Amino acid sequence: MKVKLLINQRPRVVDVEPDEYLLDTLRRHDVLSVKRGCDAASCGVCTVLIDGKPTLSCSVLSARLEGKAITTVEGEREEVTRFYTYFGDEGADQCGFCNPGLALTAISMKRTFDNPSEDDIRRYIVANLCRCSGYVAQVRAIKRYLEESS
Amino acid sequence: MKIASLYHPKDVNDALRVSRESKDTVVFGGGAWLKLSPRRVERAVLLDTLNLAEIRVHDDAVVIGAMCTLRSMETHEAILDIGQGILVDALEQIMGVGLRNIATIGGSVMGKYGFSDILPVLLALEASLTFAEAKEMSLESFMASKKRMNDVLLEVSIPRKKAIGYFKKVATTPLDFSLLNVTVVKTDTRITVVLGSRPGGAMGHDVTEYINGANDIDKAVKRAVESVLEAIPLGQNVRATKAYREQLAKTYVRRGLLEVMRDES
Repeated sequence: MKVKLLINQRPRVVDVEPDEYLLDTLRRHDVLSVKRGCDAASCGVCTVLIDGKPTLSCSVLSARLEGKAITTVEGEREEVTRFYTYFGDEGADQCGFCNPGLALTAISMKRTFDNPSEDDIRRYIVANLCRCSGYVAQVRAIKRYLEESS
Repeated sequence: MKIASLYHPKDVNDALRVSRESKDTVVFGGGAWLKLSPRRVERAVLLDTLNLAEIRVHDDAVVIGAMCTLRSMETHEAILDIGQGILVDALEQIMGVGLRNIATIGGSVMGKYGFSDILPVLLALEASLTFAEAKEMSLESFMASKKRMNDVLLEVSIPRKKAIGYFKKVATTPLDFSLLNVTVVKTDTRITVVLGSRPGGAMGHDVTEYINGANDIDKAVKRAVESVLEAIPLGQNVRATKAYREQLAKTYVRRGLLEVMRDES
């Protein structure tokens, strides 16, 4: 079946199976920043923005997204670059596998919250798992990004 | 879950008609847990375009459309007001924002999931359901029924009354399912304790008679806790033993009761 999607501001008509998940659709169309982690809605590395809301692409059927705007880090280059500056400065970057999902979650926070506390940040990123870090540097980086780039 | 085809109904009646055509046809909520199901369905009926995602605030109730996401609920002011924020407290502890932007209240209710953190709270708040055909039904009757409800859920209605609430999710990690969850809600007329993740479906017990008018609060709470453990069976699964769940229930039901009484004073 055919579905019209707005992938990173570009209108696309994609052919999908009824039980195809967005993660598979995106990767099949070379949107490779979106990673496959647990593939069971638990790790957050497949996070994309659907109409601006962080959503797990491993658990959304593509066929349900007719007309929706899908944004990945490829479609947020300027904002993601800004975010990564803080990430690098704070030593929050290690293997990088969780970065795309975390970056989009942080960007969504920036557009949703006014002055989030450290607790707000920790609650918001609770399902973006990182197996390298202990989240301390990441939370510090996100806090600075939200405070200084707003 | 394997899905052979998808169906976008014209309206609710169309959804109801098609969902009854075959046992291999399933009405979908948000679909957050599709990957956990090994089932194969011939046709999935999607309610996405039927305008069932609204939250309406009336004088006596907050009415939530079945396709409203858990995240939309937790960020709505009227939901924050319910039971001094108990519903939002429970919602915020369900996985992460990315999943709560997918999972819907209708899917959570119709799934009758034993691990649900939202059903116990809705039960304690005396929520009611509106179906396409069966019309009104209390959530309590729905949960108690063993029969499969072959209907389409349209709305969940939560009474707007003065209530004080306590919710505790006990889990190994924030992203894991609960070992046990405990809800205590005190309204002007009753005090209800609901246990979820027993590991079966959530069950409630009215403890008003033990608490109201009691002179010795400690004794009254102790008797109320004992009555909860007698009335609501707890069991064992891979997450916890029966004995451990009972210890958790003793501790958190007691804390919950003391908290809702303290909040009142």
